[in-house]
Amino acid sequence: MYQWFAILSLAVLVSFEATVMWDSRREWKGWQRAFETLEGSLPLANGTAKGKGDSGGRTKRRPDRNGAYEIRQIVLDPLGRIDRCPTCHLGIDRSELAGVRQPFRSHPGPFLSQHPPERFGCTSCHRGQGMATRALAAHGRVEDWPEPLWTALYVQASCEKCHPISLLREPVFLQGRKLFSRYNDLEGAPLLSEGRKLFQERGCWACHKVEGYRGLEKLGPPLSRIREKVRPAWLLQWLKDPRAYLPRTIMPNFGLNQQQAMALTSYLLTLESATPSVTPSALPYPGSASLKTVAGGAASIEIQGKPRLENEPSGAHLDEAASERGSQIFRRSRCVSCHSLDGRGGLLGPALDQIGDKVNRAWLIRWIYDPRSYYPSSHMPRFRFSQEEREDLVGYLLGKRSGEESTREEELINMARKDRELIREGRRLVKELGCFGCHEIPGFDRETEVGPELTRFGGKRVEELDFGKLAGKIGFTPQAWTLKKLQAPRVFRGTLKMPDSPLSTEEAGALSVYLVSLTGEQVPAAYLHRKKGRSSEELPPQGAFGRLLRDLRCFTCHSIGEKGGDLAPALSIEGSQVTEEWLSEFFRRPNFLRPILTARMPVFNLSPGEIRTLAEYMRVVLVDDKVDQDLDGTLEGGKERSRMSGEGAQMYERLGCRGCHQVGLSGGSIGPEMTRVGARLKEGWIFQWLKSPQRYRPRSLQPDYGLSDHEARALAVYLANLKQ
Amino acid sequence: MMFWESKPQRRRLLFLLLLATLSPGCGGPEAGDASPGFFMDKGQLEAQRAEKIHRGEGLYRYYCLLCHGEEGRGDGYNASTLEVPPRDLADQSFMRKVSEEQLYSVVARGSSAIGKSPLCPPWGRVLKEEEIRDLIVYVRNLGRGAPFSAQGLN
Repeated sequence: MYQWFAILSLAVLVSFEATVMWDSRREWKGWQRAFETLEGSLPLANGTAKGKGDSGGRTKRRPDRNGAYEIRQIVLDPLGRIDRCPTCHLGIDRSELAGVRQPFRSHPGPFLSQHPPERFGCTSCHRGQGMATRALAAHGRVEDWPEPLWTALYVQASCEKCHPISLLREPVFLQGRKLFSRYNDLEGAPLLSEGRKLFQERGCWACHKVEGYRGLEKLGPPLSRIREKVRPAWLLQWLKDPRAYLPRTIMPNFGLNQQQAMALTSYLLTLESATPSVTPSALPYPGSASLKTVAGGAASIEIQGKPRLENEPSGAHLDEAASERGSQIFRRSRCVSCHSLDGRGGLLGPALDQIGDKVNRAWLIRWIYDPRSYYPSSHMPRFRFSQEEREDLVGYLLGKRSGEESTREEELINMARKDRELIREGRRLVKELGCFGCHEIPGFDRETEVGPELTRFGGKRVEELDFGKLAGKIGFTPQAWTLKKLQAPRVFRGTLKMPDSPLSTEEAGALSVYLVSLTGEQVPAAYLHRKKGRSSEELPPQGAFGRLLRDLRCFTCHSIGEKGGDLAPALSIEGSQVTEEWLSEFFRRPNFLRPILTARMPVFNLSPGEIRTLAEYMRVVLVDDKVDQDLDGTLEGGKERSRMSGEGAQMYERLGCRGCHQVGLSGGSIGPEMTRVGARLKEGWIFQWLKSPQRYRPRSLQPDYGLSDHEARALAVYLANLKQ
Repeated sequence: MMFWESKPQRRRLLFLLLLATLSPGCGGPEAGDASPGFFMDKGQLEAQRAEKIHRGEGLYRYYCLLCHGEEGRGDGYNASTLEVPPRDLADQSFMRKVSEEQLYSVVARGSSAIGKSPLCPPWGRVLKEEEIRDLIVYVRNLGRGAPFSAQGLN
């Protein structure tokens, strides 16, 4: 009897002993012990006794040698998380530990000070299993934990849920790209920022619904009257391989075979628009010098009845002299600011290298006369040309051809267009491929997006993703799947429909970061960090000025307030910055201000009345009272001014302005010329600008010299006197 | 008689077992046998330096390249217009003699701050301190054999 008692009590003692030993061998205790060793080995900051005393900046107590090892946790009630990461990551806030091994390395960048752990914890950005105390489990690399740790590159994806972007209905041209938000850039998250821009720019949202991306302007031109515009042979080739014609197009390659492309072509060429091809909005430009020629020449454009615009032989009207004149008009108007030719030029509009293959003559004449009658939201401005000028220009452009013969294809297409079966097939293809996502097509106004919704793509568990043929061949993570999908959309299975749209490896990486950030997770309102900007409900400029603005598409490059692009200087306070005389002259003949820039304002041939409208509006409305303050009022008379001007001249030398600016024949070519700056800029503006350039243009190369008011004023007086 | 039946032996046994219970155990990875150098992560330091150079390169190309040139040799687009040519930053025989503080002064307060011509403007109010430090790391790296390529960073 007693033996059994002895054995049992021994067993209890042994299991007790085992439990104690097991508890004392916890992984995290080992790490805390190792951290002690590390601290002991650190060079001392102030020569005090080894290991004791306070080293500044620490918020946590060191475990002391009496074995007071403890689990450290951050309890976050609003987020419903408990993070025990600091138990092992003991050096996270110790900047001197930047170069040590994990888990003791300090957190890089300013992120920790911007997002204090007491408020944000760790897992809200890094994910993983906050409550675990073993490394593997804490990093979420165990079965069934839905949120494994995100690595250094993908952790940016967590920023999206608290730093969302706000979208605009109409795109803006920012940094040369057509984007739907002004606030894509998030400091500290470059991949996420790039991914957002790519998602908007490449039109992924046109086929994949994402919450918030609603009611946006369509990315492609309307197809309702494509029959008037393009030559059928071109359309066939385009549908088969868009990038063969325009290497930079965002139109995807759907991998169509000849039959499908023929079907689509014949269907599209049957489309008719409800609106007539010539709209009464195309009145001659008010106050235009070429009013008479326009009205007189109108009959040659073809206004009444059904336009005979299809299949016109394009070589019919070319002659050398006209083509030469057209070439001069092209150069003079600076079309290359937006369109590229022979590899040089802007990227806002399509390249014109083979435009002669693509469009019909009558359409092109009409287009240059009034782009918005065909494509209401086009960014092409309405240039003021006379009829002869238009014809010459078109003659020149239509000479840009590839030289390939397409008559055989034209015949084929003409036959196909009578084939009703094929046309029906084309219609079916439009529905299946989802062309209406990017193009307005009559009859397809109420369709929904053809691809799967991506609002909660980031919340998908890896088990829900179809790896198809590549199962086991690539990493079993959502990131790997997304990266593969973006680079080769149909690789997983033969039946997939996503078209090819080339992305470089970097682009695919950035886009995948953005896609995994779309978790659809809701954060408490206190954590949301929206970019503060002026309300986009503000009215754009109205009246005659507003009409001109829309006609000339100024907002493609310039901005007023929050509206418009950033390819050219902001005009919000232009009236306070420049003199009206200079402005009027500039509208008449835009000249080069900054030698190093390649983009130039196009020459619109504005009439004096139109110039007056623009200049007056700017002088009266686009002003900033602070800039306009009358500086002269504080300086008494000519002697005071000339004394200050002398001081200013000395300062100009002393500061080395000549390094970047030219006065007369000497000086640098980085900034605008200063020879006649007084005739261009207002004195009040020069003063404000010199005091703090980056306040008005954050990325300006103009240095901030830290000038006092007096110094800046002296310089401003000197520069305002440079008028000859 | 069994060995646990005599009192002094029982006491001894209990004492031994109690002692065993109180032993702290040798748990955890890498405790005690670590030397100080063991903790430094060379790869990490190298990666951090590469980051700094990458950021510095971006700043250099935006603010400095127009005068100092693609490789820092003082042959930039604007250099021919200047009375005093821009410094050749890749010239190690010269740069070796320039201290960290001098470099920082030039960037932050302009070349006039160290007694040279005023042609290199002060950037101290435009760039933050870390940005200037990154820029200096990049400039120091110029002309050091093959410049550290930012493309290698991926």
